[in-house]
Amino acid sequence: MSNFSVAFRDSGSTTILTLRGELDAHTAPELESAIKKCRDEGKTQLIVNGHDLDYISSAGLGVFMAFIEDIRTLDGDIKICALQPKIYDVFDLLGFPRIYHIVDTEEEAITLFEQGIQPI
Amino acid sequence: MFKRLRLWIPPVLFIIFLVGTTGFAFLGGLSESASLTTKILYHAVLSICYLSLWATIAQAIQQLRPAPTQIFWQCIVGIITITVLIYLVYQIQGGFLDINVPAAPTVYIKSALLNTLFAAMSFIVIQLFSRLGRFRRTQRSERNWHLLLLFILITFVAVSPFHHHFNAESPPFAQPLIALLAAGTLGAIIFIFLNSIRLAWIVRLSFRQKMISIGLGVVLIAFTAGTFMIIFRPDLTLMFLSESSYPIDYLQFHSLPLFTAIILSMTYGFVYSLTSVLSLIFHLPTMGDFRRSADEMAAIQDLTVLVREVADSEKLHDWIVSTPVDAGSGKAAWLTINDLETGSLTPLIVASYKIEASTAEEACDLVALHQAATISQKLIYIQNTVTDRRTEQAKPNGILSLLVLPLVTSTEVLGTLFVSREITGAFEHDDLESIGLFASQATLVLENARLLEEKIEGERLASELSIAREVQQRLLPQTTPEFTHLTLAASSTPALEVGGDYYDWLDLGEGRLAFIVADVSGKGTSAAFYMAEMQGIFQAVTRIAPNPPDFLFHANQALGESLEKNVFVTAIYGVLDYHSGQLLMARAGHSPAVIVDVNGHANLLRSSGMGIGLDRSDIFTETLEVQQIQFSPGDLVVLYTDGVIESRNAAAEEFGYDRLMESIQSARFESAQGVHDTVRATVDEFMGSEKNYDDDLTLLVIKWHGIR
Repeated sequence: MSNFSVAFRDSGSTTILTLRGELDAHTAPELESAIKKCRDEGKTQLIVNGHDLDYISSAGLGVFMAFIEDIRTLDGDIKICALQPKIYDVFDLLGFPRIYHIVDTEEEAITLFEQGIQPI
Repeated sequence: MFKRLRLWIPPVLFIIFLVGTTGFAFLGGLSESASLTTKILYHAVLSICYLSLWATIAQAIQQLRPAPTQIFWQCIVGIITITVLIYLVYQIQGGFLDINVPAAPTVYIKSALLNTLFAAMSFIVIQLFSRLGRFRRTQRSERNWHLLLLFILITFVAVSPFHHHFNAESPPFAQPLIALLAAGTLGAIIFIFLNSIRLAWIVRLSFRQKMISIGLGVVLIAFTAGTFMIIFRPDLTLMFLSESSYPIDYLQFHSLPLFTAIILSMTYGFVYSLTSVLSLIFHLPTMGDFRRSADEMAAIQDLTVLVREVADSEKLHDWIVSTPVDAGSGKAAWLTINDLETGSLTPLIVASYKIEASTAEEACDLVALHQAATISQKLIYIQNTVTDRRTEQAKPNGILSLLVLPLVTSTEVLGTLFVSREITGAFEHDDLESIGLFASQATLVLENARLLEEKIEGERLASELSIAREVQQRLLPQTTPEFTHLTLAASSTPALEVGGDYYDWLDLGEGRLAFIVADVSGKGTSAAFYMAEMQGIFQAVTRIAPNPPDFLFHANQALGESLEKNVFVTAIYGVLDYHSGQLLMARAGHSPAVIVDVNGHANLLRSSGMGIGLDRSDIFTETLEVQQIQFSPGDLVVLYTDGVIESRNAAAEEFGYDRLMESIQSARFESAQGVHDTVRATVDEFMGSEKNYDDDLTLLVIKWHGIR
């Protein structure tokens, strides 16, 4: 039933979470626990790669909001990259680009971390 | 193999010792000149010889069925068979016994055989009756039985020095020995009596079985009394042959202690038969209606009680554990239930009786026993908990035998009932039957109780949700106001009973209509609470701050404080001056409004603005953009929630913006209601027969007709 998965990958000091499938109310807890795990392990420079993310519901968007304050308090950030246009549109409609870095590639996101640039 | 071999040890020992001692006496080993040590040794071996006979008979009886009437039959058959054998032995010619002349060889043979037979008879009688007396054993019944054996043993030992082989007239310590003998005999008689009033088996019998038992009991009284006659006064029976001595002489000649043991055992048999018959007559019910076995009675009573208790599962659990104990089948009982909600494998003790739950937990490996019982779906009977590794800690906690009964329906495991006793091997055959029967009933009732509970719970939840749904529907506009310049139509369908979608309007006066469509992230109950809050905010704020940016700023302020971190609300809010056709509208993260003009041009109004609750600082206000649109007569604006766009058909395609705009365009000449209905119908048609609303779905259509 659930066709959603999160894969972890460390790249230097950043951790890349690759999302796959549909992120909705049922699968949101998976991403939630993934981000929680990173935070608890002290990994706060997170990049969410949404290249293979096919759908996101409002509950899925809520996951990003749930942690962003925490992560930023720990001097980290959640940056989002490689979204499909359709998915980017959902983020954009909601006004996410004003408070999150949403970029095209992982490299760009890593560079933003290296330069220590915060979105707000 | 070894076990079989072991069964042969007692009878073989008996025969070897009997032949050995008889042969020894026959060959003159016990003549006047024999030393005291030799004589003592002879009697010691003789005692072991008859202990072997006792063990032989005990083994044989162990193989027999322990049902009460069966025991009577076994006893009668045993006595008759042995009496016939005694009669046959009596046919051996000669062997008159005179203590003053050396005994003839026939005397030795005759006395050895007669002793064997009488001893066998008395052992059979005492052991068979002890099975009745120890029916539904308790600690006390076991103690009484062992004390009876002890007192018989005391008389056995005390009387030994009086045997004619020793200085029977005046043995050493004659006075204390006689006192001991008297005490032993008195004790034996007392415990014969105490063991004989234990008649627990009677209540279990059916009327018919009681009648049979009375008949058999009378026969047994006659037979045991007859045996005394044969021993003491055979001249009054058919047994007597003139050249023989009385059996009492042979018995006393052979072994005086054994003789006392035989007499005491037969006395027990006689007294027990007597009390049994008297008690059976007393217990005979007079009415035909009572001609049911106690089991059936109990079962019927159980069921009526269960029907009453079924509603309260805690009471039901208590009742399940207390019944087998109160009925006398067990000393303590406890019940474990599978946690169906968590699916945990660890059984949980939900009720215990005459034992603390913690003690029961400590006493045995609940998980292992529960699993073994549920896998086999049969009861497990641990006769001796000391020898089972799953009940290693049971003995210190007063549990020596344990029954584990799985409560399983055809489809699932409900729990396990444990019944324990404080002595080993305490559960009789019919205990197992009756507890087993009880367990199957308990299973049924437990299942019914659970189904009932689920139904009640389900209905309660359903009724509460339907109330919530009603309340929520009342938060939405109940009627559509009539305006001369515009028409309005709207609807909202939650995916679940309640949802997070909201639409509303308010006539602000001076020809201005405020309207809103909002969507709380997520769905269901939690979303419904925020939806209600949104409604309050709209009704309150829009009157004092009707301007779109002002209203949304206040909404963000108010909701931002109460929203959970991962929840946001998107909204689209507008004010239409229906005299002039001027529309002011702002979008807070919401799906863009569709504007369709009378010529069929469709536009998505995608102004900038972020969702409510995303940001609590100034960014929200900074990004918020107001759009101003001048309507021409016939133009319309359509607001909706993403449930419309994301509706999916069987092929998992989304409805999307294009289909939405096309359906609006196609109905653009109709009133707002007509446009609304067309869009809803198109969405429904698109979704196909299975209208599974994944998300709440809301649609609001406003058409400006200008001055009509």
